[in-house]
Amino acid sequence: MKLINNTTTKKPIIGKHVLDTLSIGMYNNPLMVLREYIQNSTDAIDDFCKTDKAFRSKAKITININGVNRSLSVRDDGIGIPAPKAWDVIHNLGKSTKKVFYNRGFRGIGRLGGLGYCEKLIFITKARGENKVSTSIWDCNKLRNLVVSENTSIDASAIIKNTTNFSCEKYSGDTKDHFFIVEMQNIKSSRDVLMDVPAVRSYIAQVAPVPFNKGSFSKASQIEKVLRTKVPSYETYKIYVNDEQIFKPYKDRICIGKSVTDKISDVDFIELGNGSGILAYGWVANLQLLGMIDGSENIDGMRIRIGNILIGDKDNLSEFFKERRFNSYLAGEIHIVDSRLVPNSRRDDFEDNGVKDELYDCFIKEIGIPLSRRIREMSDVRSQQRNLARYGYLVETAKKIINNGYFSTVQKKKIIDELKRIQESKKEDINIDECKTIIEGIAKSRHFLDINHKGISGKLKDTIRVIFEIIYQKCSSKQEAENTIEYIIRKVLKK
Amino acid sequence: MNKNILLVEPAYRGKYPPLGLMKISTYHKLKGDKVVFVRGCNPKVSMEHWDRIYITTLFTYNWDETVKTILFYKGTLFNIAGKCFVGGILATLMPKELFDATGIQPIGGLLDTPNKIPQDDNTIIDDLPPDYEILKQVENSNFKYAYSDTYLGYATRGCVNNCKFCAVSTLEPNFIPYKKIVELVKGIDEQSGEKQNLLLMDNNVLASNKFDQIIDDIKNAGFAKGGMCVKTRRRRYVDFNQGLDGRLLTEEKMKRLAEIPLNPMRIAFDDIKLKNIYIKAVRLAHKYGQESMSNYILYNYKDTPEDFYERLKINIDLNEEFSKDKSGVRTVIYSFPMRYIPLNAKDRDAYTGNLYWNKRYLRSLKVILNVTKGSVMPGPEFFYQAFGENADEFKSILLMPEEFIRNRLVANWRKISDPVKRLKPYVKEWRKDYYASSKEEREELINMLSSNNIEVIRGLYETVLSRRVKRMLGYHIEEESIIKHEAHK
Repeated sequence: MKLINNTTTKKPIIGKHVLDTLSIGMYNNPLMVLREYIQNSTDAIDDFCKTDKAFRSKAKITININGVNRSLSVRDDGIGIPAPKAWDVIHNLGKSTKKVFYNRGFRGIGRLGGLGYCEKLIFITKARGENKVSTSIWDCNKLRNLVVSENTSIDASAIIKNTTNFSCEKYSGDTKDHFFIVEMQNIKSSRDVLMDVPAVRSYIAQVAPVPFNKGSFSKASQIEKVLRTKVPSYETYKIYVNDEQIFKPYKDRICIGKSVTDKISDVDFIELGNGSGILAYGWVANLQLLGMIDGSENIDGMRIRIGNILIGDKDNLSEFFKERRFNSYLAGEIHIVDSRLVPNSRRDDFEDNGVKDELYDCFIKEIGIPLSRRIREMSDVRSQQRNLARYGYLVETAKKIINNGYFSTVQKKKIIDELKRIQESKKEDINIDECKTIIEGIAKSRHFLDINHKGISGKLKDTIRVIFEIIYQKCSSKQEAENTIEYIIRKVLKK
Repeated sequence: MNKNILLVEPAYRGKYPPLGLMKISTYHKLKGDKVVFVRGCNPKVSMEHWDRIYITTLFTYNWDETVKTILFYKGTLFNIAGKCFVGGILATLMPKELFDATGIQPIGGLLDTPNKIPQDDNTIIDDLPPDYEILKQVENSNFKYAYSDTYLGYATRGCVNNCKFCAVSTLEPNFIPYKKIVELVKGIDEQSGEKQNLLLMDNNVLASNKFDQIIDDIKNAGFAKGGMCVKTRRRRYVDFNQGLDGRLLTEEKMKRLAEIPLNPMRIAFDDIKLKNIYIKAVRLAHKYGQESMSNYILYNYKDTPEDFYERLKINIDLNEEFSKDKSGVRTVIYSFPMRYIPLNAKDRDAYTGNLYWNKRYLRSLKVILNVTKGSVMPGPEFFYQAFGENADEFKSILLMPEEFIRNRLVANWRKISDPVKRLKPYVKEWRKDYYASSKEEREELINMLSSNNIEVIRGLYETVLSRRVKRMLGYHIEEESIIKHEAHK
């Protein structure tokens, strides 16, 4: 093999397609762009609060969606970027100075997310104490056209230079102000989801590091207190969407399917550890496990979070249950503690390493298997109760028939068949001897008219018998059939 | 390719056909599209594929029902907001709130330019005749629109005034003094067949400088006095149902109005300050032979219960005056009280800023008006019995327990001439306490009752010192058992 020894003078080129890979090609849901901007905002607020701790209670992130001019802005009053550094920080890619675990965003690519969903992307920022405000305007249409053009000589940095316009101007407001604003103008997103205020609110409530709602979820304070002690990166932020503060959707009373409700009466805390330390810490709601939580509640499933931001979606942990749907029987959160668990660029899972496997293994052991088992047990108990109730009803009806006669041969046959099935199943809680006696008794039973209306002539009796038979066969509800026949008996065949 | 179009009216109570949707229906049918109209959230249509869904909106106080309906149909479209069009009154008055709640940017105002909804032509949808056929798709034995056999339209748009209590300046900001009624009637005739009456929803037709032409047009459209409907062989009527501005009613204009079969004529009496102008306008109408009148009495805006009473009484006095008149013109005025609700209220109980009316008064007035389905009978006997002999008595009625108001009179009360003797014993007791109470006691009573919430009243009961006020509050707390007890006697 011939060695090439002049490689030191070569400079690798970062091709233009890296730009669409990091923007529109990166996410499968336009709303994820908001997660990226919120992530940057929370880091900026944390950085500011390092020097001004008291500010945390006032800090907020405001999102404004304007349907008339089709724009969306995300504003935080975090540390902002000082004017001398603004150009570099905004225009350089993948050069974040943030630390992997201490900051929620650290790759320096998240701010490009908006490029694919608007015509103009504007960043405006100011740091405290300066009288200058920096503005960078990105012409997204031009940028996208250059990326898809046949011109291959232009690279990523040249495109950024060509399509952005940076200015630093005198700030007319208070020099103490500090902020970072992202504004997306003329938004175009699939199904217009970035303009859909309820959808944005719902997404942020589930994904962003917002607080629990103490007004509607009585376990809010308890969970928050425990998480703050056990999870170092746990923090919450005031986020407003079109003037409404957003909270996590957990609440006391929740819908199971469309008609049943359950109450979160208590929560259990869970520690996921590998023997040498805690990997993650979380909580799971104490529910009766009656069924899958209605999806519209936005709380179904154990959800995994890092820095209190959701990883992936509500189904990330579903594969670790015996049946995927079992995850939807539960409500709860797992917060990552171990700093070796790092989210991937898309933030839909963790970077592959041994710790990730340990985490999932722990989850399977502590939650996936025991709760799958519990859900099945509860389901068995309920079905057993249903069967017992059914058996009780059959016995009661059978006794009534033995004493008072049957209305229809179909009715009689149906009860015998069902009791025989129960007898053959040999279930522990069924008295087989009693069942056998009843089956024999009902097999010998006579027609209601033969017992109670002996005086009616044979011809009329046969006609009524046929009428009863028809009613019983034609009514879709057998209970209704019996009620109708009983009504006829009361009204027409009085003793 | 032909499109599938769904038109939706939320399932709020309403008797007026949705004119905007009816015009949109005409537009799409002209293009060969299939149009379906439903009311409320209809699970059957949500299982079909729609190219566009249009949802109308009406009163802001139907907020919950409206938002629920929009979200339901947005779901039907798998949240593709661009296929869902929301317009109408609420959507025009509260676009930002509706956008925040639904994620759909409403289309405000009229469809009077071709660029408000995506159109591939230049048709002005607002100028199209309404499609009456779609109404049949929702009418059944339980639900029927009023005015479905009526030409619905406008001879003008907007209003020259900018009254703060009225939404017209937002809904129709430009005053357009002339619209071609003849063409509208012709268009409806061709599309849906002849209609009986003509309902014009003009906000201020008297302000039009083309007023004479409008009257000529109405007559040419088949609505001259004495005009008959060919289909039914019944006499036809014209109704400017938004009312006429008494300030602009001149002798000349009244003369021209007398050429068309106005039934009823409606003159707004919004403010007691307009008393003289109003009386003059009504007398003018009488002079020109107008018999049926139904006049709007705005309340709960800036008025007091006293001046509301006075406005009702003015109509009773005018009725008396006309009944004795020798001209032979039997003008009869029905008062039609209209409660003011703020233009951005999301429910009917919204705070108006009016300190003279309170929830108790408003509820009591509703109870009185319910007897006659909202209007005030023109005769003095009914009026004085229902509303009291004077403003003070009127207020005392408003403060009575609701059941007392409903069950004030003994059987065959008409045969008893003394108004007090007509009253049930518990009402007499109540009145005795009320009339014996001091000014302070009455104020306290009003304060206690103003919330119109029985739990609040129960809570406050113990804090009251005056035994008389306590007794009167007691009537409110015990009203049902008092009535039952009386009935068993």
